[in-house]
Formats: sequence, structure tokens, C-alpha cells
Amino acid sequence: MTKFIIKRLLTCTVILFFVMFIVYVLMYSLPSSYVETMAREMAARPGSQKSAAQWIEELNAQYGLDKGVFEGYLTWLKSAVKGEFGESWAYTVPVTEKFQDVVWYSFILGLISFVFEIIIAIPLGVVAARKQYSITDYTITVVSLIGISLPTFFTAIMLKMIFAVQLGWFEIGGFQSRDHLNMTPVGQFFDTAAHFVLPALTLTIVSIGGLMRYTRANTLEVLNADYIRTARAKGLSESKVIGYHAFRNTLIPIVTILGGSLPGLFSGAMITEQLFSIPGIGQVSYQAMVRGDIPFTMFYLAFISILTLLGTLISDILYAVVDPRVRVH
Amino acid sequence: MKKAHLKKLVALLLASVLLLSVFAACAKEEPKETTSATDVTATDVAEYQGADILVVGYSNFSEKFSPFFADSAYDQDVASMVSLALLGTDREGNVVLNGIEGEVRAYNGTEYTYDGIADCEIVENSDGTVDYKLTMRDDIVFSDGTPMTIDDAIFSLYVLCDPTYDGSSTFYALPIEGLDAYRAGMSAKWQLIFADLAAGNDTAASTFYTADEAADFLKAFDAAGEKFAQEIVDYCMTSYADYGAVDVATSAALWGYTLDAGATAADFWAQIVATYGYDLSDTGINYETAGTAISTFIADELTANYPALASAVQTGDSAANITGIKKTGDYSMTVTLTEVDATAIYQMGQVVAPMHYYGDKALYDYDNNKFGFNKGDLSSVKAKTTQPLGAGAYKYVGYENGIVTFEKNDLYFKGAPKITNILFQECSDADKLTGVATGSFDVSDPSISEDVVKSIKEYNKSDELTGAVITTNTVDNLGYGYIGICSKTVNVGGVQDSAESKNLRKAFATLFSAYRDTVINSYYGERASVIQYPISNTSWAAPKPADEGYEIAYSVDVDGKAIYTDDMNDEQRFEAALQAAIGYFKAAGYTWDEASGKFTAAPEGASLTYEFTIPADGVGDHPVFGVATAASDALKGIGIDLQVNDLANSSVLWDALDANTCEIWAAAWGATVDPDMYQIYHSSNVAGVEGSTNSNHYCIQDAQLDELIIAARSSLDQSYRKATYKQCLDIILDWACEIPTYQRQNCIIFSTERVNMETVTPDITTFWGWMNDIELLEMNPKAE
Repeated sequence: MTKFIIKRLLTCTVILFFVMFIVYVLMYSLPSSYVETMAREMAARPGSQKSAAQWIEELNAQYGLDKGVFEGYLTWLKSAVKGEFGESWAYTVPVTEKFQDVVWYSFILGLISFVFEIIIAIPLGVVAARKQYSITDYTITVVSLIGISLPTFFTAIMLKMIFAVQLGWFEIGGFQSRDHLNMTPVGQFFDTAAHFVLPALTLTIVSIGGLMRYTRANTLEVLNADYIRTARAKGLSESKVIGYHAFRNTLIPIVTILGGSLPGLFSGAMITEQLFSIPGIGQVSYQAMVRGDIPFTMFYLAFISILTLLGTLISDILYAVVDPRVRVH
Repeated sequence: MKKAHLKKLVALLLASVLLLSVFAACAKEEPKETTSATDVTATDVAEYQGADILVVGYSNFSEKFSPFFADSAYDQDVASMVSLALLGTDREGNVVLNGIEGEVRAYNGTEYTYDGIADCEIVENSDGTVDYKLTMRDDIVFSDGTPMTIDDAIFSLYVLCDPTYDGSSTFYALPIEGLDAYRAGMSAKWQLIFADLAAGNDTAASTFYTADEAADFLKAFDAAGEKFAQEIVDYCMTSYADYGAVDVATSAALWGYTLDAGATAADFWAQIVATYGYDLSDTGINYETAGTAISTFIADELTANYPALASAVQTGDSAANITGIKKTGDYSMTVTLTEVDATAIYQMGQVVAPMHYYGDKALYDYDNNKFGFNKGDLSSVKAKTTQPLGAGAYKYVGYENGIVTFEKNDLYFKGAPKITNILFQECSDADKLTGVATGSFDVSDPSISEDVVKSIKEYNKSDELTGAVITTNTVDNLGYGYIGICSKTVNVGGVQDSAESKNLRKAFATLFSAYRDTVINSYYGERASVIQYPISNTSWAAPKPADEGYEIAYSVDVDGKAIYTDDMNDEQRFEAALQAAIGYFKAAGYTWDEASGKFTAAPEGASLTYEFTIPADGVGDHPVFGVATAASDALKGIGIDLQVNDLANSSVLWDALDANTCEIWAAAWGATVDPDMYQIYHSSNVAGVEGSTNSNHYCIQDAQLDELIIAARSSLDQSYRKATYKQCLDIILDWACEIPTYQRQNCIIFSTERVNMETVTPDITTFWGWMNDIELLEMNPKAE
């Protein structure tokens, strides 16, 4: 097992090196960069004594962009390994500091929708599988497919339209309402919680479909297995067959999938956060990208890459944990 | 069985722990969010009525809230809520010079009194220098209770003038006496070497560079020069092969140089240097350029091969203070300019930042040239970039959860504000209107589109932009849209300012102008108007329809006769414009074939094909895109091919403009309070000119215009300046390099229900935003 993990970790490192290189090259060759925008702005200012080209040159040197791609990447990598990701250009604070400020909003939002996703999708998947081709199955499938197919921005805007604008139950975005300042701590908690409802709902709606379909397919497979037939033949009650024999085996692949998506809780929800004005990591990194803030974007993408690799790693390990057959290989 | 139950129980327990942890995580964040809030409310919790908070919907902040480094307009708003400037402006953007006593100025028929914290007296001295004598009130305190003195103002100016200052202010560009000497003392090595060469000094005996470096520079200089010469040769061989340019010697001959047969580019370069000496200016070596400036070649060469020569060295001779900034009392100072600069007055009213907060009082000793920080080290100022402090109407409390929180400053010099807390809440642009309508915000600034206009009317349940739910204020945007034509690429026979060249450009300009009304109206509706002069309507120098000599842009034909009559419909106007354009093309020397009704040949140096570059996101989304396509269709009918190039990526356009390769393009200028035209129209700012800012994309080089621009900016008499700028505008229009298109509007919306509209400052203008008089602003009592 240890050997397996070490081997996987080493592969991850190599993959990460190249992924980050690709990301760096992409960032480097963006047609319009923060530096360029800034240079243009500075050159257009009244009384500016330099042309945009001169500003660009100066700023490039200032931001270390005057080195070649490869050398620049190595410089970045060297400090990144030490945990120094530099100062964000757009936010003018150290990248990691900004990250710590905002990541928890995303995490909480992600966690809430993750929990609801599990609570809703898995039982629905099992029910749909048990009653394959019934009205229940079709209804669940259609509804979840709608959830998958509708783009996040559409779902979010519809929810806002109905619950915030028409019904006025929630606010259209943000984190706190106008009276937040003079509420009791408990009131403030519920105020913030209320602001989480719509974004969490959005994320849940768009994510349950996938997990539901996955659970349904796996449950169907298990239900067709020999040992289920045996269990039924033994005369066990249907609930016992499903809840005890079938469900536990269905869980094997599901656990690996869920384990793999755990790191994703930190990556933020770019579109949802944007639409609900939640200053989480998704929105902040989006703003950083739009402004061509290379240090922040590099950090964020490095972070996402690590999370993704970590996700697959956790999946693999969990797979080995729950399914002894994997460990043997 | 029991065991199974136990397992279930454990599972349930685990699940609830997980759920609880979710909420615990939420709750854990809470104290952090509220620490600042409790501080605010500690004193007067009971007074909070809910209606005592104003929420403003804002676009995202960059958290650069310091008055020195605020960059985006939104960050600047935060800075200005918190800080106080020495001088303010009135509704027309003119500086209020007697703020202490208060100045009465009329706007739109109403007389308003403008109060400030300082007076400014401008004295033009007989030696040509100008003194700005600033006197401030002696009773101003910062929001933390520290009194404000002139030392704070001097500290603030020194921050802006520091050699390492890199914020958005351009105060350091003013011709302040002794400012250059203060900022100087740092130059690139190669410039020092070059200066010595030019002056004929011995380059082997310098303290700032070694003899080897001087030799290196000469190598770089010659390598760059060889390329410079080669460019001339290449140019001659491609363009003038017919005139015998086949090699270096023959090409050089066309350029006026006599070289031996078989000479190389290096020989050619040696000749050029022999002719001009070490002079890189446009009257020196660069006079010979075939496109790329010699300084560019040198810079490239140095960057590529001798980067050490491009580094800066301390030359030592740096003044310890700025002689033009003099403390004349505890509450007064004088800023001396070496020459008259009409734009300077707008820069005199800088924010007075508290030295004890941004700098260090211990480092301030005016008599010994210490100004609150060590010269060249702005770290203490930068450390406070996210936490502004000043003497403004509100105090900055914090920026959390995407909300900037302000608390009223009871020590504000105009009296304590009425509203206790103001929140600037980040939101997406699409939410701004909805937010105000549904009650999340009270004030916001949505970008105004036809949809927004429609929604506002729907919310108000009327056909008005101001009604029971939303009150709308529209103000002209500080800037305007234009179509540019580069005189270097669109001309006849390579002469930019000949009558033929101007006629060629006027042909296009006349046609473009004809389509402006219809197109702008369909894109912007009532939110923009067509303008007739290349200047923003917000400027006091903009000609008004009632002014003498005011004309519709490009409305006369080549003989000076009016093209349009009042009874023409759109179709007839377009046709009339096309006929006028044909007249201009003919006058430019184009060959007209009467039989086919088309132009068949272009004169020397001109073309039958031109390109209109328009950054319309690749999907035609640009206010003047319709002008481009309509003109292109019309021109096709007369044999001229105007290719519309819709850019998905606008940076392509900027690069092309810098390189002077663009022919016709559409863009917009941002403007400032002062109509100074130096940056955009003066010949020294044409791209490629030494020391240019590259902003004169049109490559207008007109001696008379240059003279007028300089004359206007060196006068303090506004009526003289306005008349001079009118002459400038006429010259610019005559060059037909810039076709004025539209003046866009911005809007600010208020919730009529929650904001007491009576208390909002009246007559909001571009220069007089709603945040003026904010201390008087009140909310409506909360509806029960």
C-alpha cells in the first residue's frame, strides 16, 4: 500500500510540473495582460511622459516578465515550492493571504451543497433503480437530467428571479443584509445563513443529477448480481435485500467518487459565486483572471491542479480501502 | 440485531456531527465578521433604526483605498469618502479658490455656495514663474482627532513627488520648481555614456561606468545603427527600385548620401553619424528614419545584448528638497511653477493625508529636508493602502464579505453626517438595478442600456425614469467616442497635410458623419447624443450650438457649400453625403469613370482599398459598427473598398495604433476636467517620435495647431483658452483625422422609497457626484 501511494505521489509531481508549465505558458501568452492594460492606462493619463510601450517595458521588468518563458517558469516554481506565491497584482496583498481570506466562504458553500447532494441524490438513485422503468424512475431521471442540463447561470438566475425578485424571500446576492450591523450574533448568523440558501440550492440542483445517475446505474448492476438473487431466494425481506446487501455494495464506487470530490470543496464555484456576489475563491480568482493578475491566477490554478490530483489519489486509495481486490494488484 | 442498531446510531451521529460542523464552520466565521461591527455599534446601538444605514451597490473593489494609490474609480470613491482635499470643484469642474469663506457660483440658474478647507491665490510673477499660495483652515482635524496642519499637506505632496511613487497621480509631471532636481539623480548607464559622447567628454574617465562599458555601448550603438541604415536601404530597394535603388550605395544616394560602390550598411551608418554627430533627436540622426526610431533600435540592442547598460545608477546629484514647495506658515504653503500651466490648478487640490498615520512624524523636520518618510522609501505609505484614514465625512471601518463599511465622522468640518453607517456592497452590474428595486441597495450606478431604461420604467409603473420606486439621474460621461483616420496611412503622395490628403480623409469623414445620427440612436437610444466637435460635452471648452461658428461636423462639400437641407429625409441625406464624398475623392485626385459611376484609380500614395478596424468583440457590438458597415456598402457602389475588420481582441487595435499601421478605426477617449490638447494632438506625441506618449494616433503634425495648444495651456484666462481651443478644434476637423461620434451618458439611481430625495445634492453633474454634500443625506423613516 505504501509503495502504491509513493508511486502515485511521484507520478503526481511530474504531472503537476508539466501542468503548471502549460498554465504558465498560457498565462504568459495571453493577448491582453494586466501589465499591458496598466501600461495603456498609465500612458493615457494626462501628463504621462512615457508611451505605452515604454510603460510595458518598465512594468515587465518590474513584474519579472522580461525573462523568457522557461526561465520565468523556473523562477516562479522555485518560489512556489517554498510556498511563496508573491503578491497579487490586482489585490496588492500576498496571494496566500487573499486566498485564506476568501476560501472559507467557498468551502462552506461547497460543503453545504455537498451534504445536500449526498442526502438527496443517493436515496433517489436507489429508489429509481429499485423501480426501474416505473413512473417514479422516469420522473426522477427526467428531473435530474434537467438539473444536469441546465447551465448554472440559468438555474441561478431563475432562482433569483423567483425567490428574490418576485417573492422577495431572499436577497439577490451578497452576504449580509443592510441591518446586519445591529443584529444580535444569532440574528447575524441566520442573516448570513439566509444569504447562503439560494447559492447552495443552485449548486445542489446542478450537482445531484450526476450522482443520482451514478447511484442508479451502480444499484442496477448490483441488483442483477448473483448474491442478490441468492438473498431473495433465501426469503429475505425486500428492505433487507436492498438496504443491507445491495446498498452496501453500491456504496463502493460511490465512496470513491465522493472521496475524490472532497478536495473540490475548496475550489469554489466560479459562476455561482459570481452571480450571487459571494466573495469566495471562485469569484476572486475570476476577477484576478479577468484583470490578468498572473500571480494570483497561477496560484489558483496550481491549487486547483493539486486538488484534482489529490482527488484522484484519494479515490484510488479509497478504492483500495473499500475493495480488497484492488490492494492485491 | 442490537449491533446493527448501534451501527445505525453511530452512522446517524456521524451524519449529524458532519451537519453540525457545517453550521459550526459558518458560525466560526461570524465573530470575525462582526468584530468590526461591534466596534461600530458599541456606542450607540440603541440609536440604530435600520433606516440609518445607506447601502450602495458597487462593482468590485481592488482594495487600494489609499488616496495615493487608489486606481479604479470605485476604489477612488472609497478613498474620497474618507479623505479631504485642499481644494474642491464646482458643478462645472472649476476649482473653488476661496473655500474657507465659501464661494457662490451659479449653475443652471441656481446659486450654490461651495465651502472648502483652503484658499488658493494664484500669482503670476514677472519672471514667468507662477505661485500658488495655499492657505488652509486652522481648525480641521482628522477623524482620529489629530489636528491637520500644513505639514500633512507637504508630506502628501512629497509622497506624490517621490522618485519611487508609482500610483495614478501625475502631480510629479507639473513644472514645479526644483522637482526635476529632486526626482533626478537616477539615470540609465547608457544615457550617461551617450551624454558624455555627445558632449565630447572622455568616456574612459567616468565615475559612473567603466571604459569597457563605454566600449560596449559603442558596439551596441553601431549595431543598432547598422540596422537603422539597413532599414533605409530595404525601404529604398522595395519602394524605389525603379529609381535605381539596388544596393546600399544606390539607396543611400536616394537618401542624399554619397557612398562608394559596394559600401555596406555600416558605412552608411558611419556617414549618418558623421553628418549629425551624437544627436538622436528628430532633427538629428532620427531625421533619416525609414520608420523605426533610432532610439528603438538602440533600446532593442541593449536589452538583447548589453542589459547591464540599461540599468540605472545613482548619479548623486539629487536635490534634498523641492524648492518650489515652500512652507510659509503653520497653515500655509506656496507651490511655485516655473511656467504657466493651465492644468496645474486642478492638481493643486491634492488630498491631505495624515502624516502621523501614513508616514512618521519623527521623520518630519521641514528645515532639515525631512518630510515624514525617507526619500525613495514609500513602504510606510503603501502599508496603509487597504486602511485609509483622513478628514472626510466618513471613517473607514473595514472591507469584509465584499462590503466596505463606513461610519460617520463626527469631527467632519461641515458637521457630523446624518446617516450613521454607509455600506458599499459589491455586486454584479446586472444586480444593481434589481438590488435598488428590491431593497438590497439604496443607491447604485448601473451601466445604462435600453433594457435598463425599460426596467426602470416598469418598476416605476410609468413612462418616466424617475418615479415612486426609482429616481434616475443621468450625467454625461467624461469622454467621447470618435472615428480616427491616421494621416500617415491615409494620404495622397505621402504628404500628410496637403489639400489632396485632407480631401481624401474628408471624403470618408463626410460619409461617416452622415450615418452617425441613425446608428448612434439605434445603439444608445436617448442615452447618448451625437457630437460635432472632438471634445466631451462635459468640458467648458466644448462649443455649444448657440456659439458663433458652431457647425455640424463635415456638412459641407468640397466647394464649401452645405450638403444638407432641412427637408431631407434619411435616405436623401445619405445620398447627399455620398455625392459630397465623391466630390472630395475627385479633389483628392482619384480617377472617376463617368460611364460606370465608379472610381477606377487612386492617386500616387493613396489606395482604392482601406481598412476600418473596429473593436466590436467580433460580433458587431460597437456603437459605431453600423456606421462602418453602412459606409462600406455605400463606398462599394462607387468603387472604393472599405474593409471592416471587427476585432474580437481589442489589444490588436492598440498595438496597430502604436505602430501607426492602422488606417481607420473607432475608439473612445476618456477626458479630464481640463481640455488641454497637448497629449492627443501635439506633434511631439506622434508615435515613434522621441519622448512621445504615442497618444497622437492620427499623426497630426501641424505647426499652427502646436502653437495654439501651447498658447492655450500657458494661459490662465478661461475665455481666451476657450476661443483658442475652438480654433484648435477647427484645425483638427480640417485635418479630418478624427470624426466626433457620440457623447454617452452615465446614470445613478436612488431608491425613491428609502432615500430622502430632498436631501440629495441638487444638480448632479459629471464633476459634482451624489457623494457631495453626503453629510446632509438622510434616509426616509422606515415604513412600519
